[in-house]
Amino acid sequence: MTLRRTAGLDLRGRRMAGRGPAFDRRFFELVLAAREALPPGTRGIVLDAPSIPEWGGRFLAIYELAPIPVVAGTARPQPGWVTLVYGRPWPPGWKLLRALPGGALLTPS
Amino acid sequence: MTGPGLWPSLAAVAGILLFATACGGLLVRALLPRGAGWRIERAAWSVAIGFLLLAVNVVLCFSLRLRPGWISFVLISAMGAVLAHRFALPRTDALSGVWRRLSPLGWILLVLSAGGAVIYLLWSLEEPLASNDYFAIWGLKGKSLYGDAAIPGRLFDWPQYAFSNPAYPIGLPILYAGVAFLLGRWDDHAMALLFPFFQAATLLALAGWLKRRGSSSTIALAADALVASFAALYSPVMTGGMAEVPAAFTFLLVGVAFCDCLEKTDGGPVRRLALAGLLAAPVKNEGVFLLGAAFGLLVLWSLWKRRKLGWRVSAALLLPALGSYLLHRAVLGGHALRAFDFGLIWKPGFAGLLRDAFREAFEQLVVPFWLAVAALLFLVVFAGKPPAFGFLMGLAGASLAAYLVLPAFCTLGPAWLVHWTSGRIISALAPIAAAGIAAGWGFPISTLEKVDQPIPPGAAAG
Repeated sequence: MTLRRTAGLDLRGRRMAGRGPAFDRRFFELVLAAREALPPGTRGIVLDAPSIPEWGGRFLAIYELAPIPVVAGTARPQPGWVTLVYGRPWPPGWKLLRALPGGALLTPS
Repeated sequence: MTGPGLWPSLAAVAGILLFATACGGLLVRALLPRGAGWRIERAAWSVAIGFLLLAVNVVLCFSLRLRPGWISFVLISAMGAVLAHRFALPRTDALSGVWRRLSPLGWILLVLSAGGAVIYLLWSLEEPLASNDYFAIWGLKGKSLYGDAAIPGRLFDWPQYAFSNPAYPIGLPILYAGVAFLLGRWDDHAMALLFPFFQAATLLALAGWLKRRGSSSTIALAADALVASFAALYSPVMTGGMAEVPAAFTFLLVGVAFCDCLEKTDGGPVRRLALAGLLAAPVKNEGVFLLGAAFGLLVLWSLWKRRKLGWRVSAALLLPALGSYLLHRAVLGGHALRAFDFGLIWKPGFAGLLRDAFREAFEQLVVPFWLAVAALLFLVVFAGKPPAFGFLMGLAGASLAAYLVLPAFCTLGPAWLVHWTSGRIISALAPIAAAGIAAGWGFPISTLEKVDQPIPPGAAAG
């Protein structure tokens, strides 16, 4: 039974083992890693993950990163915001804040 | 590994919910009289008041720009308890509500009810809340309320957050935040305990009301067993983290309090109706509709009985509905319901859309479950027809009719809405419909003239 198997894990481990991230667990690992790697004072995140559908992980990512505002798309981030890229090369000329498994946190240079 | 495992968090949330219920138990004396036959209903209403206290703690503190916490919660509960003591109802015995020795069938039904509740509990706790609507709407708002310790304007103003349906009431997210503020962290796995708690309170309210109003224990427990095992509603896959399970509880409270108001069973039904309205309207827009439907029934009832419209009952229905709507508009702004265009009614093709909506509902919701639908129709048609049956089935029927018409207004097409939401919201009518049907099968058939007579304190109700 799932409950017996996962009850000893912390919340992050239980979330990871559940249905929510099932569409693409690697993407969800990136989201969790990004949450911990955000620069202090980050005011928002542009989530650039075109391969992730709304009902397959994007809503989960936005929820998981809340209360930090998250906007999906490729818009250039406002001051104080960062871009989280997944599943594609990041734009040339951007400053790499942190390389993460499967993606990166970036900011316009 | 960081953070606690599931069991300590679960114990903490269970403790918060039980403490809130205990606080609700201090206030419940203003809604339900003490006396024989009320105990089970008092427990259910204590849970309801406890939830309301958790939400009020958040709303009041936010409006004072304070961070909600234990001190504010205890202070609010204490003030409520003092008021409740001041306005406590006199003792009234409802002898028909006293549970005596159960028959063997009664025991079986009790075991089935408890079994349904235990299965739902274990199922709900299998993993953190994980439905898409929880992530996109209810959980996102709750987590943001908690994280910001304020109402996050972006969720209601930014077009990028339109997916989270800013027009939806935020009662459930406020409740989530209320639990999280007392817990001291956001834990969306332990928070899943809220839903079995809602189910347990629903079952208590249903059986307690039926028994108090004159049903046999067997009928009351049969209704409980059916509702407890209704997996279309009590399933974390179908409704986990969403508003249907809380809505089903509040709909039932509105329905039974409305019946008690019209049948004048005791001194507290108008207060109970007002509280049920305060809970139902901020949970889902369908709660506002239900209150409006109840007001419509009240008008029809008054016309039929040729008497003045009861202003207290009207106020208990309309003030929470209007208050919730206007407060939402004032604080969060006016938002159109996403994916709906009510102007379609004036378009030439609307009759076709309506036909499509009914056809989709028939194909998706009736055909696959024809046996259950047939059994339901049998129970409705051959039930006795005491007034409570008419009131409750009138409310459930009006809501059902609205939910079946609504897909015709969906801009994504009737098939989409029927597939994704109609079945879910219809399932939230299960407890109120079960109460109506069980009243039909279990209540003594009183004449409508008798209904006009208040039941004196000390006499058996129903």
